[in-house]
Amino acid sequence: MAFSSNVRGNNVRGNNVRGNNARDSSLRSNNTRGNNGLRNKNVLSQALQGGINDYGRDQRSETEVIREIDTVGVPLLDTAKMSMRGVDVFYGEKQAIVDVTMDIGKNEVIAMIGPSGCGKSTILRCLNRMNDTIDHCRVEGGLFLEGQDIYDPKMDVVPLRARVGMVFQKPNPFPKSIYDNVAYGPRIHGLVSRRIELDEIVELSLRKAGLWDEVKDRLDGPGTGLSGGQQQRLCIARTIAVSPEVILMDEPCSALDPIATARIEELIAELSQNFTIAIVTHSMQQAARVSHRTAYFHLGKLIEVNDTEKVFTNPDHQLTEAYITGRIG
Amino acid sequence: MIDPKYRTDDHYDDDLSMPPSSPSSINSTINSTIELVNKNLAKRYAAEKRFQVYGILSIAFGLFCLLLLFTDIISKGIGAFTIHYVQLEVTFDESVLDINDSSDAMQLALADYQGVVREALKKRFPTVTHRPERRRLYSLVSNGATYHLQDLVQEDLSLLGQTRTLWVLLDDDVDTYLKSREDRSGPFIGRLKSEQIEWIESLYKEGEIESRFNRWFFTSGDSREPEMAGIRGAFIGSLLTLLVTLALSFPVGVAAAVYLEEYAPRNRWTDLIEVNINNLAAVPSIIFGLLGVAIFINFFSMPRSLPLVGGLVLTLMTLPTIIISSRAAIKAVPPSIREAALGIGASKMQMILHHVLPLAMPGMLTGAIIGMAQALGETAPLLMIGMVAFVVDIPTGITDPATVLPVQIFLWADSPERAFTERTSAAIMVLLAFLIIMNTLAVWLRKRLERRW
Repeated sequence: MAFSSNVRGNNVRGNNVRGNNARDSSLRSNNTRGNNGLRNKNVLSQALQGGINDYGRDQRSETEVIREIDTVGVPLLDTAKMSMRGVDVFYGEKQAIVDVTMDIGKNEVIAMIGPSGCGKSTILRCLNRMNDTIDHCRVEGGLFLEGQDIYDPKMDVVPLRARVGMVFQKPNPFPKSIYDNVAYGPRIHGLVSRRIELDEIVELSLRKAGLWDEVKDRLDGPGTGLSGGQQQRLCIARTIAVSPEVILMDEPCSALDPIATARIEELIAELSQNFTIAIVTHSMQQAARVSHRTAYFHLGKLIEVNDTEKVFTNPDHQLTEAYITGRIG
Repeated sequence: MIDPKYRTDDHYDDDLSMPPSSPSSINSTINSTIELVNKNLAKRYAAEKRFQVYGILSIAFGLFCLLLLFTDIISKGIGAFTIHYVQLEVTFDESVLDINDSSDAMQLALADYQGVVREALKKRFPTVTHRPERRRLYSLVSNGATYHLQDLVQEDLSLLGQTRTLWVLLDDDVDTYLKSREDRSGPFIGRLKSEQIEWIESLYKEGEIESRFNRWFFTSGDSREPEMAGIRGAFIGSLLTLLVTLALSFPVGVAAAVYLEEYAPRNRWTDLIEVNINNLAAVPSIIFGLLGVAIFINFFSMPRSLPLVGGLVLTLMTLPTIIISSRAAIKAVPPSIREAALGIGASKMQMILHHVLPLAMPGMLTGAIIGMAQALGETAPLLMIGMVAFVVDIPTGITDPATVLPVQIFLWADSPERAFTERTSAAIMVLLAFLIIMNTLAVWLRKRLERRW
């Protein structure tokens, strides 16, 4: 189950993409590749001709057609921080994720885009096992953090979540003071023994989140008394206070105004120097602005992973093109 | 009523005559819509007025009933807070008291204090010589007077042989008579004889009878003599029973709710448990009393009438209420807070203890308040486990026999003596005050915890 045969068949491994400067190197390599990533290209072309939702001709549902598409682009990296190999996710009977194979490189920002219900949040929540809280959710396939199997029964989720932090769609500060919000993680993990060290971590985290100057005089004030954008940055500070290796962001700006969004985006750019970031977003502009690579999901299937610039200028797959040009979604 | 300016709209009439295709026909449609809306408007407002009036009437009815209840209880019970005393010249004559060695505690305890009181009464009414008459004279003063004198002597031995002017407690019949003297329907005479009334009147006119605060009511346990009966025993009994109930039902209820809500898998068993808990909340309380008798008294052979057993039975009764409200409170904690805690790497227990429980605490407390209020007013299950016994001593612990306030009310309401009527109402007032204080405390506590930022 470690590797999807589709991906191997397409020979994507041959593209050597390096984490930090993924953008430049993959641009070069992809130019020579052309788009030969579609095994079922004829099926899809038919589909696209008759309007993307009209699959009546071959008596199959859109889902079934999509599921046979192979991932195109550069899903695998040499410098993978996290890897997914043939991941399937089921909610009860319903399959939400179909055979996703992809890597998240070290210190890269990867954006996950796609229409609503395409499973991008689901796959994100698999990466730190937040899906465990959903009763009938079942995950199959391999997910690895630096080669360690995340879904190994022996894997402890507590340290995993300390290593893979998460920022949620709606800002969700605890109903406690700003200080306690940031200090909560270090406290429960026992990262510090003295108050002064904790103070340092809180200040450093708030500085990294670009919130220190705004809140330094009211650290004892309520975290929920901040504005929406400040609350979200507080949540980011809370996440980075435990020094995770990976930060997962699930539409972190969807509840924010444009100015707050711009601040968060700046922050993501700064954080990417030290952290690996996976961000799910509905805004293609945002994906284009903040990410190094972009993954496009459609109906639970990973359609394309490529350098962001390539995805938004010359995508390999028609579905990706249809989405970014606004024909679907 | 419809505003006439909308009705006789000239513009509207003009528009009607125009061909439908003309642009102003749109205006006419709009105008006719407004017309229709206005026509219905008056009706709608009237319906809304009526709707509000129903609500106001219901509230007024409720308030009226409450006022009636309070007026009745207070007017009947207020008398129990005062009691009449008589002034007597008491001589602590050692020969009458039958004390020859004042250092002997036994002699002091068994001395004839009643004799001293009788002597004093004889001195006050020297004309009464006939034996049955004298007996009637003696019965004016309560037995409680002797305890009063005993206390005085035991406190201060130098009183022996001296004469003091003391205020001593009158009998309940006399007290009731004096309290009803001003009544329009005439005084309540009861068992009093005419000569007794004469003596009372003469004492009253001389200013030798005084109405004072009834401390007996608050300091003593139950008694066969109404003037000496108090609610302290029942009050302490209620307090102890409630403490046992709270100490058991709150932790057990919260623990059950947390497990069912956070850990238990959703399957047929948990569904069955849930249905049963909901049903238990609606089971008549006397059934819990029967259960208590069967389990705690028959099976575990615990003694009857104990606050401990009462508390256990009331725990069984209040548990469903607390579990249901606690589960609702836990369910109401926003999932985003749970996710935030888990996302940082908090374990499930840390998530529950640090975030879910503090946020759910006000709701859980509300459930506990309702449960405790229910338990405080409960009579039926306690009758079954023998807390209806006549207990004179004030309980000092959960293993002393006791009764509780509602049962005490029930007992007094059943007693034939007239003076118990006002004590019944007074006990109801105490019970209500207890309830109000308890709820205020709990509401204040909840407000303090409810620091939702």
